[in-house]
Amino acid sequence: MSTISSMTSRSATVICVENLHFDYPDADIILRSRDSHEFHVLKVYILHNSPILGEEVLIPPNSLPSTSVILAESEVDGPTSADTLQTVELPIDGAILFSLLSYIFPVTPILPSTPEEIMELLSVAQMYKMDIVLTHIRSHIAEQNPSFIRKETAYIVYSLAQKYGLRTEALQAARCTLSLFTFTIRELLSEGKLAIMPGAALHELWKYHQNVRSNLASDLKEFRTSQGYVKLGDSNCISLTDSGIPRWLDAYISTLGSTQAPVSLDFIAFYMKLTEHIQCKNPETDDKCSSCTNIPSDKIHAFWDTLTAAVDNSIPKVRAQFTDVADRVHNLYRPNQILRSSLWEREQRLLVKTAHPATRRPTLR
Amino acid sequence: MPDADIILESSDSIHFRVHKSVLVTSSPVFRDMFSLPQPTCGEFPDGLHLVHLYENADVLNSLVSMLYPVTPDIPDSNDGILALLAATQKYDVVAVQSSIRAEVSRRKLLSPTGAEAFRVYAVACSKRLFPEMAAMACHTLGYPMTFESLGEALWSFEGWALRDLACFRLSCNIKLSSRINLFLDCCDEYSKYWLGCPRYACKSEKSRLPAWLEAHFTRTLEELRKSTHIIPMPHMFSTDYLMSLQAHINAKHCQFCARVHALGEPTFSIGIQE
Repeated sequence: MSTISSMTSRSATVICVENLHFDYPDADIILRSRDSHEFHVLKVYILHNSPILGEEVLIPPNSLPSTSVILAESEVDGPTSADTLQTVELPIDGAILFSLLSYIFPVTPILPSTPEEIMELLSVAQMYKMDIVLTHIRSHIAEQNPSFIRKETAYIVYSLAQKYGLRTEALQAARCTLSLFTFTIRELLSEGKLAIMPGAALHELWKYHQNVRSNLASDLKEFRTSQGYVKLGDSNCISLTDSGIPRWLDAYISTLGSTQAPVSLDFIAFYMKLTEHIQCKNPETDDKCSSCTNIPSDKIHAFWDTLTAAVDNSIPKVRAQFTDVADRVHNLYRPNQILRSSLWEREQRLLVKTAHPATRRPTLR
Repeated sequence: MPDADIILESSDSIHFRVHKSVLVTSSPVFRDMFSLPQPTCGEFPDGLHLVHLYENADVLNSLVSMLYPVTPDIPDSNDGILALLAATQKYDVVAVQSSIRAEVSRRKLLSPTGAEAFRVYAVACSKRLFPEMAAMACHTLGYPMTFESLGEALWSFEGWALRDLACFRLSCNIKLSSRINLFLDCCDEYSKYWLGCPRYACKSEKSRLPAWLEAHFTRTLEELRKSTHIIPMPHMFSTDYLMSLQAHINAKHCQFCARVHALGEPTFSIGIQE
C-alpha cells in the first residue's frame, strides 16, 4: 500500500508505509529516526508545526555545534545539493516518526496499529508541542471503530497515558475502567492487570475510582431526595422507604456508588430488580405489588434517562482532582525533560568523543 | 584514614579518604575499576585520585566503616539499611553484605509493621535485594493487602513487585485452604488431638471433629475464598476461633476442648506459621 500526496505535481511515490519511505519533492532536510530510517521532508512544515523542533533542533549546524545536527555522511565524497541536506537525528522510532509526518504533511494520515504505538505517537506530538497535529491525531483516533479506548484497551491506555503524561487519554481511559471491575487488588490480579503499571499510577487510579464513587453516592443521595423517582409516577408500592421511594428502587440506586459494584448503569440489572420485586409477595397480604407491576414502560424509560443523566453528570465532576495525576506520577516522562535529556545525551556523546581520556573522572553508577 | 591514597566522593559531595588496597581487596568492582588506566593529572585534592560515587554520605560512611576495623555504623532506619545493602550488592562486597544481614537479624532491625512492611518490600524489590524481598513478603502476611491499607506505600511499588507479592499471598491463601481442608477431613497430624469431644455428636461419619471447630474452619475457608485482602488477617482468624471455643465451653462445659486448647492450641499453628 502506498499513499501519494495530493499536493504534489510529481507522480513519484512520496510516502510508502511498507518501508517507511517519505521522500518529499524539493526536500531541504533529512529527519533520521532512532532506528536509522531517513525521511526527506520540507523544513517549513516542521517549523510551522513544532516550535520546539524549530527553535531547539532545526538550527543551522554552525550556530550550535553540540546539538544533534549533523551533515549527511555522503558529503565527504563531494557535496551536491542532495548531499548537503541537513540531517537531524530524532529520538523516535521510524514507524512513529513516519506516522507523525503523515499528520504534518498534506498526505493521508496513517495511525499506528497498536495502542502502544498510538500512545507513543501522541506523546511525541505532545513532546514537540505540536498542538495542531495533536488535535488532528486525537480527531483521527476518535473516528476509530471500534473505539480506541474501550474495555479491552482501557487499562493499558491508562497506564501508557500516565507514563507519557497524556492527561486527556488518562482521564478517558480512567473513566472507561469505571465500568470494568470493582477495583480490588485481588480482582486486578485475577484479571492479569496488576503488573501493567507502577504502583503510583495504580494508586491514583484507585483514588479516582474512590472519588467518583464518593461523588456519585452523594449525587444519587441528592437525586433520591430531589424527586427524580417521581418520573415513575405516584407509587403505591407495597414496600416504601421513609422517603416514600419503593424500597427495591432505593436499594438499587444505593448500590451504584458503593464499592461493591462497578460504576456503571445496566438497564438489564435495573429491570431484573424490578422483576424480582414484582414477583415477591407482600408477606402480610400475600399479594404482589400491583403498583410497580403496572408502571408503564415509557415512565420506566423516562426514569432511566433521568438516572443515567444524573450518573453521567456526576462522573465528570471528578476531573479537577484527576488532572494533577500525570505531573505527580511521572515527572520523569515530562516532554521537555525527554527532549532535553536526549539532547543532553547527544551533547555528552560529542563531549566524550572529543575529550581527552585524562580529563574524564571515573564515575560509578 | 591516615595514608589514604584515594578519595571517594558521595553524591552529596562529602569526601572519604580511604585506601585503594582496601577497596580492591573487598570489592571486585573497585578492583576492575582500578585496573583500568587512571588519569595522572587533574583537579584532584591533595593530588589524590577522586572517585565519584552515586551513594550519599550516610551510606558511604556505613560502607567504609564495614571495610575497616572500626565499630560498624549500621543505619537504624529501614531505608538506610536497604540503601547500604544495595551498595554492598552493587560493589559486590559479599562478605560485608553477609555481616550486615547478620547484624540486622541479631538486632532485629528491619521489622516494619503495617503499610510500612509493604513499602519496605517494594523498596527491597526496586533494589533487587532478594533475601529482604522474601523476608518482607512473609512479613506482610500479618496485614491486609488492600488499596485502603497500602495507601501511599503503593507509590513505592513497581508493577511486577505488586503482582509478585499478590501472587505470593494468594499461594499462601491456597496452601492455608488446603491445610484447613486436610484438618477438616481429619487427614493431618493436628486433627487427631480434637477427636473425641463428648459434648457434641459428630455430624458426619467422616468428620469426628467437634461441631463448633468444624463450623469455625468452614467459615474460615469461606472467608479465604472471598477475601479481598488475599489472605485474612490472622488476628481476626484467631479471634473468631477463641470466641467459638469460649461459646462452646460456656454452653457445654466441655473440659475436653478446653484441655486440648490449653495443651497447645494445635490447630492454630497450621498454615499461618508455615
